[in-house]
Amino acid sequence: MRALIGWFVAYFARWLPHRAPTGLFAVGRPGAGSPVLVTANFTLTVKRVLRALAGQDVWLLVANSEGINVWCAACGGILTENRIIDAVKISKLAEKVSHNEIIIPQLSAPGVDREAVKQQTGFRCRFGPVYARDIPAYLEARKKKTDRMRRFDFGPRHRLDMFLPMNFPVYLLIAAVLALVAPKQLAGFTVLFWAAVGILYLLLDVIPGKTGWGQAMFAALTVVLAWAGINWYLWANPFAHWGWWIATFLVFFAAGFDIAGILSPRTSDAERMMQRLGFKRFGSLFVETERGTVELDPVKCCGCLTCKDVCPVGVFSGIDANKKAVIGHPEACFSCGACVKQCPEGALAFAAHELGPGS
Amino acid sequence: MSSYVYMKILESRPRRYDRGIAMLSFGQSEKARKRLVEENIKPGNRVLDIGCGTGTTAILAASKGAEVTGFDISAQMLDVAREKVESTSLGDRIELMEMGVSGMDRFADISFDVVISTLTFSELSLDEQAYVLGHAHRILRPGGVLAIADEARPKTAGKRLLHGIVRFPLLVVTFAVTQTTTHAVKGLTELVRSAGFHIETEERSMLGSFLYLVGRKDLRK
Ligand SMILES: C[S@@+](CC[C@H](N)C(=O)[O-])C[C@H]1O[C@@H](n2cnc3c(N)ncnc32)[C@H](O)[C@@H]1O
Ligand code: SF4
Ligand code: SF4
Repeated sequence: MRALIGWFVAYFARWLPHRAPTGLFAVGRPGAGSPVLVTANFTLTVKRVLRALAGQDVWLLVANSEGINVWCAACGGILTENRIIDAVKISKLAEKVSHNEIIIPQLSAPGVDREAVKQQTGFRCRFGPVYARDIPAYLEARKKKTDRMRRFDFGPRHRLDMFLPMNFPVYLLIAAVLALVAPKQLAGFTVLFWAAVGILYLLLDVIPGKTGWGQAMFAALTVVLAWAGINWYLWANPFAHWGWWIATFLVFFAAGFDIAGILSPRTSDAERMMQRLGFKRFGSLFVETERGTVELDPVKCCGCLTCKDVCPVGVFSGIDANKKAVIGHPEACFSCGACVKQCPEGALAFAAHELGPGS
Repeated sequence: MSSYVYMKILESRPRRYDRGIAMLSFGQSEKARKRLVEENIKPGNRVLDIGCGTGTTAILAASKGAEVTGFDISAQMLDVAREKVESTSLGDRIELMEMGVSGMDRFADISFDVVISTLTFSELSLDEQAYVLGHAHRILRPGGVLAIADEARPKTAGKRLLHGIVRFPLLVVTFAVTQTTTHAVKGLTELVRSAGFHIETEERSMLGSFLYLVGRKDLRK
């Protein structure tokens, strides 16, 4: 029973901040020449990194991100150069190793000013892979990253990760309200909700529609038409149970509310709606979406391809004959800010236009 | 992108911080700040505020006539602090610096009369706390004072339970507003003592959940 509760909490509460101890940890038997990997003190992240590092001899430096995962903390202005500097200095890393390189997670790029870390600690930061599971292969290849190691993976693994933590709270909320006002509908709602979530999560890539909401509505329409068809066939009346039509639309809407934002590198519909509703007033809350996509100033660019190294969705394709970066897939950019923050020449900026629907 | 909304809410935390913290502590934090400044700071004192955040305590101290240096790791928090300082006439008595606790190594030995910190120790991890206390002791003048007010973990299981029950709804509300939870400090008094301070005051609020701690550096040494 205890284990069950433990599992339950670990699974459902894991997207809540949870702090692991910070500092320098020896994994295996590292020496003065061993690599130093840096991560953030979100408990789940530390666990995953440790699992991935089993069998290696390396140093693991855990920086304080207030228990928030690397990417959210870096984009949210919590995991910054200051946190890395604190971790390096407080752990006295310089006394433990004889080299001056630390490997920081690629997804920390939106928040960390590497120049400042170098100035204040003497350590150079190199961006490791996006996922901890790629660290062994990365070290094996003498810290050479493949393009696959640079990509955020929106595939089945990510979906499975998001499936319950993202949907269960929504389900619980609606179910609680229903239990109070219409307890008889609870069972029906439960089936409908999880069916809707299942359909959307499994088929998101093939359902037509540009925005997540569009796709959710398309899926709902298909289900409703199928339902009407069945009714027609069985009872010769397509409009029997028409109440379920509305319910289906509502449930799909709830299930697909932020599906584009969560499962794909597309603009979040929920966010766009809030913006349209005039939530701009909320301080810095929605400034980012107005950033637009990334643009290159070829005059400043020196062709170092740092941008390509940190972009998690492969927007940059390489350099051209003039040794300038090439933006090969501008449509893939979701304005995470990693390349803009890391470009040493200040050659990248966000176009000032507002994002249109589906862009 | 992936819970992108969540990230942005985090980013906007500093703007809502003052409100959130007042809510979480039932106004306890305001009283604690006032008392800490009242009892420990005199006009002309050189004061260091560790994790000054939005500057509330630093401003109180400066208005008592102290020369305050405050530092914080968060640039956004400091933006809010600067706005608040500008709206007072204390600008030339408050210096704000952006750095993490490891930046304390830049202060000279014996360069402060008082070191204060409100609600920040609970955000530090254990190794950071020990580091901070070591440097606080180094930079204080002999006889100088370290004053901390923070959330603490109640000492007995019964009080912990009661505290948990009272606090839970607030925790939910605060999380909704600020997307953070605070972590009560544990065993801080011992840490302060082992950093070389002589404990002068250790007081806990009703449920034992709020700690007020004053330590003094020995006169000789
Ligand atoms: C709960 S706030 C308290 C702010 C202020 N002292 C007050 O009483 O309202 C904690 C502050 O500590 C800062 N902080 C957390 N970790 C820090 C670190 N390692 N170095 C410096 N400041 C830190 C945070 O940025 C935040 O502003
Ligand atoms: S990081 Fe900047 S300078 Fe380097 S290739 Fe990219 S755009 Fe050019
Ligand atoms: S190109 Fe866009 S998605 Fe890629 S790193 Fe830059 S801002 Fe992020």
